[in-house]
Amino acid sequence: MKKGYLAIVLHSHLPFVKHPEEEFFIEENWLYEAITESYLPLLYNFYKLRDEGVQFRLTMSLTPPLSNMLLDDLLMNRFKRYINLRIALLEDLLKKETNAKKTENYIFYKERLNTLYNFFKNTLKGNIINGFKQLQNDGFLDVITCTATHEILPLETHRKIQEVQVEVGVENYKRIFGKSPRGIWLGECAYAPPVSEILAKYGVEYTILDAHGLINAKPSPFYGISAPIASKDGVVFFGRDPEASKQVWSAKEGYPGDFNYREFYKDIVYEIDDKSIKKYIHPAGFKVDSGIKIHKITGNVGLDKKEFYDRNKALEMVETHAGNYMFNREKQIEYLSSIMDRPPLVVAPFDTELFGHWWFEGPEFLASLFRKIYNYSEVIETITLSEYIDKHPVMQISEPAISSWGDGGYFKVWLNDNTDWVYPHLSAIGKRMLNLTKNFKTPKNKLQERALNMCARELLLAESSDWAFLITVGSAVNYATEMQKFHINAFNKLYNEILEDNIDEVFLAYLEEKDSIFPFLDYKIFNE
Amino acid sequence: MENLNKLKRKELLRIAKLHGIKNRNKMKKEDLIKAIKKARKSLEEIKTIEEKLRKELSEKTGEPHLIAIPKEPGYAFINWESEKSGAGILKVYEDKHEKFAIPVNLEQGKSYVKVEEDRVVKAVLGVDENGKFKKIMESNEIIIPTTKKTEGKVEFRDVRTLKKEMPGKTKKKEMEKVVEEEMKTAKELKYLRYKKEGE
Repeated sequence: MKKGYLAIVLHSHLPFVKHPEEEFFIEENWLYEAITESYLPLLYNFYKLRDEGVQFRLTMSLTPPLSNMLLDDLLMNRFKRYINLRIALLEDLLKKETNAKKTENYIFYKERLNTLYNFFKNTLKGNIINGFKQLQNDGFLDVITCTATHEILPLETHRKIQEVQVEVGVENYKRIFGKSPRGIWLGECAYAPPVSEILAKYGVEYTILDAHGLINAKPSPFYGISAPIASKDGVVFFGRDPEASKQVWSAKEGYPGDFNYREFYKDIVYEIDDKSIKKYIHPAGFKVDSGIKIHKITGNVGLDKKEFYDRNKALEMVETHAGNYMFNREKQIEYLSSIMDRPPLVVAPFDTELFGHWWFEGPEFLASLFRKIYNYSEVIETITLSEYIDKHPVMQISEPAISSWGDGGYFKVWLNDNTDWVYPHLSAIGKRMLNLTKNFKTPKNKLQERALNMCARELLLAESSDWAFLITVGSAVNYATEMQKFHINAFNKLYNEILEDNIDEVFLAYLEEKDSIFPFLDYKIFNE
Repeated sequence: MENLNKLKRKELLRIAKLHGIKNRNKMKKEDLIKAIKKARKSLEEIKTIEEKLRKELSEKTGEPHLIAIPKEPGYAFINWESEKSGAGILKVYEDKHEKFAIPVNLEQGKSYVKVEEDRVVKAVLGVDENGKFKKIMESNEIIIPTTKKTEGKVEFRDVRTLKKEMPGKTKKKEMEKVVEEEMKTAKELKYLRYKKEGE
């Protein structure tokens, strides 16, 4: 028995983006980049740890929009095209390149992409979710679900719709994993009553909040965030440890900003002439990131002054940083264990996409951290949140505080002058959906039933927190605004057609193909 | 637009499905191509509808409502739309007591209202009728987030049985110091999502 636990939690989420109407769609690349740079490298490293006999534990969320995209044939075929185009581009570049540093980097990327693609094709049998399932079955991973479309539940005005978000999240998980999820990631860790009651109703045992969600709980917990609390409904709430997050989160102060690590913002696609790159980019001639980035951060210098990436040097830094992270957690846990009556727990949640996509060396950092803790630490062991509950079921009873893990700790990231136009519409279409369920208890034919189910999908997609987030942070603003409007308008179009009994079947079929999330969804789930 | 002749049958079937072409699975490759070409016209029409749905959204929802949403400690967002027009009054209640009333346009509006932390807040929209307030509609109730710590009785239970349990010995003062430190670090932690800001 070690002195305390480290629980790393990775939250894997992307908004549902699928555009079958176009052969190439730039925003679909978010998924292909996350698969290539984060999900596959992480799973590959975790398989390696397992095969080495390293006992590591990790909690990972897999949100319903992401899992639905990972199971979509069209998107997965396009992912194969994405990765193979990049392998072909590297082969092409290697034929002409004379610079030794560039060649070295191109070879590194080519080998890496080939390895990952073979892992995807052969080990995972072309299905990334198989990797999550396998590691969960082997006892290394606790996969948890999320609300249906990552809605910020405290911003939802209808209690029934808050329930549907949880119920669909649980149902989606059951259909994929064949069992109920023990934990849930609340979109943006956003909490307000009556969410605890709803989680208990759908059999969810635990979730994760930001530190102040626990510290400002009623009553304020005795152990702060070093142990979870349980609400009167019996739901367990774990708190994010700010110290354990800070070293990894911050691009400036944290490890990812080390000058030896790969530079995110300099992609080779912008340095190759239009003619040579033509067949590898968008047919309309747009250049978008290839993910092949061969420079290091170097220092506080402009992109033109960046030096070439040295993979070996970067991996040396990974070892140093993983060692430093373990050392700091050991000191933290050593002290806590000297004053607490139970083994302290440090919960460190991160966006999965931070590891690999944003911080290129992130998957190797995690693997190195797990290896070091298992082989050398006499103070800490890693644990999943489910395991913690099983081992230490006695908890302080306290009602968690309203909070989120967004900037400022509450909801201003999603509710502000630039985004508040969204919420009256969401409330209105939510009310319409509840009325549809009441007034169309039995659909008069298959077509009407299809339209009602599609209304339910469009409502849930409109409720994704992603669109408001992107608008606020100024990233892909036009696309996010258009998607937010599209889902609201598509709902209203179908709603009016159902009421007028004049359903446009061609457009409905188009929506069914495009917004094909939750194929199992039955609109009657909104029945109050 | 891609050359249909170069596509494999599987890909043609996908496009045919997108176009809602019936009996597509029974068609030969050349028949599929013909059917897709014919249906393409309707895809263009669909794209026109889609373009409209992406770009235009009326400011009004068409659904009378008065909603309250918590924003942050001390602030709530209120939004309303009614079938009536003219001068109205918006009353804001805290823990069932009227906190303030402001003149508003009945037809439509929004306001970020300043309220106390940790209170149950509700809004009511109405009109003045001969010196008396007449309610038109009321909002949902919300709780305003708080930044304050609440002291209270410490109680432990086993989450499996909900049976009361006694905790062991913890150094209280040292623990309080740790919690204080944790809150300080949490406040300092700049929230970063590694998105390409400003892109």
